[in-house]
Amino acid sequence: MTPLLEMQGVSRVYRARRGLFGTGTPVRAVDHVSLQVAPGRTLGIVGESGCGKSTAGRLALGLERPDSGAVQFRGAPMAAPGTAAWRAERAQMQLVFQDPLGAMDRRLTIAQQVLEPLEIHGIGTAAERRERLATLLRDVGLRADLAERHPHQLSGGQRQRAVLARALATDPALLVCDEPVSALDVSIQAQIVNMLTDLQAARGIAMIFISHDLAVVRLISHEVAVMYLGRIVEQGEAEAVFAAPIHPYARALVSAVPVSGPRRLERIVLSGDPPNPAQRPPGCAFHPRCALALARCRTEDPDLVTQSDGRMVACHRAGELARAAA
Amino acid sequence: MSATTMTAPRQRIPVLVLIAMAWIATILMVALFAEMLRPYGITAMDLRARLTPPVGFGGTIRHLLGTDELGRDVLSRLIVSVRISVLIAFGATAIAALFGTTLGFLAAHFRGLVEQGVLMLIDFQASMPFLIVALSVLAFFGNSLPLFIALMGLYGWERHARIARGLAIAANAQGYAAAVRQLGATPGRIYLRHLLPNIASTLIVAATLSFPEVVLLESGLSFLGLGVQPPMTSLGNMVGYGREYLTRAPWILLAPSSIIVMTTLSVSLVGDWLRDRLDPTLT
Amino acid sequence: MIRFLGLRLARAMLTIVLVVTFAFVVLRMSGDPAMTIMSPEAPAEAIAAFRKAWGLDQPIWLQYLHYFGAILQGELGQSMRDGRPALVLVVERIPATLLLTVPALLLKIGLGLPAGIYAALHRNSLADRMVMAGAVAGFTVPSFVLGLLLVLLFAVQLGWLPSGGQESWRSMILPVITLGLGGAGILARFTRSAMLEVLGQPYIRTASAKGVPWALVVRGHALPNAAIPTVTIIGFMIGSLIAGAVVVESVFSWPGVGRLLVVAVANRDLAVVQCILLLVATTMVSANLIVDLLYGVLDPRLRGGGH
Ligand SMILES: Nc1ncnc2c1ncn2[C@@H]1O[C@H](COP(=O)(O)OP(=O)(O)O)[C@@H](O)[C@H]1O
Ligand SMILES: [Mg+2]
Repeated sequence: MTPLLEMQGVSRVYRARRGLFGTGTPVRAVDHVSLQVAPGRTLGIVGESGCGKSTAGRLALGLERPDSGAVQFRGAPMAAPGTAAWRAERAQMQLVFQDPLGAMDRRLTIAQQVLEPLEIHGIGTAAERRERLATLLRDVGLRADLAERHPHQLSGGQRQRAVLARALATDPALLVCDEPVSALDVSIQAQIVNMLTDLQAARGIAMIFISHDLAVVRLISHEVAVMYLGRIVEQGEAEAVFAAPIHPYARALVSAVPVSGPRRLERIVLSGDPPNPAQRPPGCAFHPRCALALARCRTEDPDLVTQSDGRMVACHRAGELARAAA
Repeated sequence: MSATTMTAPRQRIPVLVLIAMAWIATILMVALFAEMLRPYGITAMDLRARLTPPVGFGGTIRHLLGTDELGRDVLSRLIVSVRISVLIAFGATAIAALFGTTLGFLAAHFRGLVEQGVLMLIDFQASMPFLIVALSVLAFFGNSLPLFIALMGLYGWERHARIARGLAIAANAQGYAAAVRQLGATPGRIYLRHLLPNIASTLIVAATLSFPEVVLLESGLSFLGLGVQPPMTSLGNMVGYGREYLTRAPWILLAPSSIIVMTTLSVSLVGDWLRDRLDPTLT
Repeated sequence: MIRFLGLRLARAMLTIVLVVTFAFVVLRMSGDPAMTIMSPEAPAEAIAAFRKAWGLDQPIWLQYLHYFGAILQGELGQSMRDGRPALVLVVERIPATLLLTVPALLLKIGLGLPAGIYAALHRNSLADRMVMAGAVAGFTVPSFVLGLLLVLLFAVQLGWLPSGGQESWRSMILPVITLGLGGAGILARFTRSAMLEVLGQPYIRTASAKGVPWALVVRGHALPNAAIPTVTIIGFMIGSLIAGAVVVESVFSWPGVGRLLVVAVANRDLAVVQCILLLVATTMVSANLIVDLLYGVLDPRLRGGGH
């Protein structure tokens, strides 16, 4: 299947400026990342906070332009942010935020906000919009009487459903969910994730699901990419990666997820400091925290190499680790 | 402002603030209905009753607050002066709010050079005594009421610009403005339909802080004879005129003076109270 | 430190450039100088000659540069009224103004600073309430009203002091009090809130919790830290030493720069107005610069960044 969205070698560098004339160290928030998502499929992106997941999501949506590399939607490059063409494109792709309260205008009702994309893109008559509102609320599991409420009168889970209804209003082909359930109670997390799965099945939406919580990502993803300091260190079929991660960082993450039944991996605790993107270690960026690091890892940066099972791993010891895992 | 302050139980309004509010309401009523309330025309002269003191100080009921050198009724002049001064202060405050908010939004939207330019203007405005700038402009352009209001409208815009810029940048970075932008909304929609209503209460508090300052500025300039020009009259203008009769007819000067002081005091009290309730971070 | 100095200096220069630009723009926008100076019936050749002589036929940016150059060389034009150089006219008046504003500044600091500190240390006491009430009065009572009330009381009713003029030191008393009281109120309010802010900081509470005597906490921590914002407002007051008395000088017929400015504005004596504008800008900017540098001394953390 041809991918709906394709990112090829995309990088994004932030220069934190201090004052009017000061220049800070550049931060490579996303470094040479390549991804694809096909319609009806979900790509999970996992990694510690600050590794560049959100930036990757914004780049995928064309909310910012990459400093290098290309992002293609339906085989064509995206329009420049802020242009009329770019605004029109927004109807086809949407972002769901971690903080639904912050993502909504606290002065407008849920109904006004859910219908706002239709107003913006001039879709439908007033009567059609009203009908659409009822459908959308039903699809995300919100009672119709909540439509006239304001955001702060809703619970966290209801708010996230409302944000989702707004995102779905224009029938987008691509949905980027950036930590959509991290701020919610665990019991509600599962409901929202299940609802997303159902919606995707019904509408054939392509999804990028960003989270630092592997348990949630595992529930919903077809493929998964593990990021570390702006780069993808392991990427492949979700089942394969979660069952037998190869990259030592991915192994550490997966081993930290509580599982029922016998454990296949023994718990690996990450040692060393969490990474600082402004001071990227030389060689393999993960080597200061890696129990398996060799001398080579300190100087030589590993490439993302396709393994025999089709998975891609950026580790000098990927071959032997893959054999050991099998 | 968080949701909690919006839904917090209503505290009782202090008595002093209530009195101030009542005074402001009275002043607004007087300004609105000045033409109906004034007993005489402001240029109507009663030459047989020149320099009559107010009632209770040897005056008569015909001229409650007495008359001036030309026998013009002080109360009537006072009522019309209130109207003019309030008109100027409202007009100027509204212009400053509009101008400042627009510049603040432009700075937040374009960033880069536009933002640096706006920040430079803010610095300039904040570092020059406004009275001197206003006087220079008056010297160069001469005086007319529209120009005078426009000039007063340049007072205090930087406060609005700072607020609008700060809040817009914050909302663009994370919050609802970013969310609406990625829905495909035009900048006009983001700024007018979403940002403006959300920061309106903060802007209104800022306006209540600059309103009394504008009243003082206007009356100061008019007092110097460089603001509102006769035959029109304003509160400062009346004080300036009454100064000539300080020894013989102090009421000409005391009546407008007390109105100025009570009004600026009331608006400051209400403004401070509003700020403490809505947005304590404002200065 | 060099960088810090350089940045501050650059900003000061920028403000001056802005003021000059402002004067130039206002001057040009206010009408065609050829038309203002020459009568409308003047022959076209005469007007053309005038334009040539004054460089008005040159492109606007060149005119701007010339204007700038003239100001840098201190050529600020002549007063339209008596033909004397505007600069001389203005400088002549400075001592009279300083005679009012310097004692007034001392009064503001001497009254406002202790009142604000005392009010903050005795928050919600009767004294605090009185200081706050006085402070509010300080900026809601316009100086011309206060001045005239003082005249009414002390000159007209009691006859103790002269109501204006510059005959003896006694004529200074009322204007200085008028200027000083309002400023003292503003300063007291500012100092109080700066102190309260500092007193609410965790390190102050830690220090006093650790048993450091309260007086020491106040002297060692609270006062120096509250000084930083307070210095700004005092800097602004120093910056307005020359122009801060416009209204009060008029009330008391005091022959200072402020009175000169009002008369010049009324007569549209542009050279004099422009000269005062630049003078005020320069003092203001210098005062700000000094405050900024003082900041650097008081608070080493600020030395690093631009803002
Ligand atoms: N707008 C920005 N300006 C400067 N730096 C940024 C910006 N956005 C993100 N970064 C930096 O890029 C890195 C990655 O951030 P982000 O993509 O938000 O990570 P994640 O979502 O995985 O937590 C972080 O170091 C962050 O500080
Ligand atoms: Mg993130």
